[in-house]
Amino acid sequence: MRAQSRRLELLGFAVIVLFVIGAFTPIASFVATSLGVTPQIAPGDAIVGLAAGRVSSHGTLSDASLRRAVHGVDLLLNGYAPLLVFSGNGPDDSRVARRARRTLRGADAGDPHLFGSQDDRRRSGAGEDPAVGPRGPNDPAGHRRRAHAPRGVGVQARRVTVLPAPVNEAEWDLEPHGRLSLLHRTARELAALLYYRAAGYL
Amino acid sequence: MSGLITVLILGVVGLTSVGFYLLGGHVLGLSPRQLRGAVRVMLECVGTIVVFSIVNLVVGAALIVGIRLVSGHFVSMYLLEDETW
Repeated sequence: MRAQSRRLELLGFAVIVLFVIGAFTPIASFVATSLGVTPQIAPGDAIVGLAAGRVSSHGTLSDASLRRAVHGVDLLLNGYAPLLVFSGNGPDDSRVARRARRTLRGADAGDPHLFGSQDDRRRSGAGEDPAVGPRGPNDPAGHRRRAHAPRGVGVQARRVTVLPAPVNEAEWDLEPHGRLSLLHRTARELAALLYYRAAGYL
Repeated sequence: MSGLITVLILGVVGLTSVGFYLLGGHVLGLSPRQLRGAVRVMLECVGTIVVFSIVNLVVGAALIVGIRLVSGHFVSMYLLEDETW
């Protein structure tokens, strides 16, 4: 009983030390950067925008999803590929897709095609991440979730040649809350990588 | 800006910690030995919370995998990413 209490004390101490280091040092940025992939932006057959968070009931994208979507559209309009595919799912996908198409009808999108996918994860059989499109897509996965890219690239690389296009570099001048948030996401990505390997996706 | 926030947080937390240590010792008559015991109990509580969080996540992941296998429907592991776990 005493030994068990001692183990719990040590675990609690380790967590508090990790919390302090994570909040007040740039270790989260170091780890996140080391997990990220190098951008390889070049012409391809399709641009795949990976989902990064839920779509609200009003059809509003999460912060990271919006950045990826904008980056994907930017690549599309710059002529890197003729096709842009978005991944993700949700209870109101069809409504959101209709709204996106309505909005785009009013915009001058030129020749490139824009599609929203309902649930590319299941269609691709890739588990958590989509593997959509023919060969050579640019993959605008990233920002602080830049560490998310290795999983997407790894899964997609089984069927296609993937050129990763992370949205932003990991930030270094973060506040303590931002550092802890980044550490949380990085730990999640590490756990997800382990899960992907165990499940045979990578 | 982030440096200022760090200094502010650490400064305020340090100040209140030392302040209440002095208050407890001089006004409330508490001994440092009692503080040591209280810290150990606090660390034990934190450790227990961590153990329960890990167990909850593992059980949650097992449930998701089980639902996938039994129903054939895709249930995302992202359901486990909520910070309230």
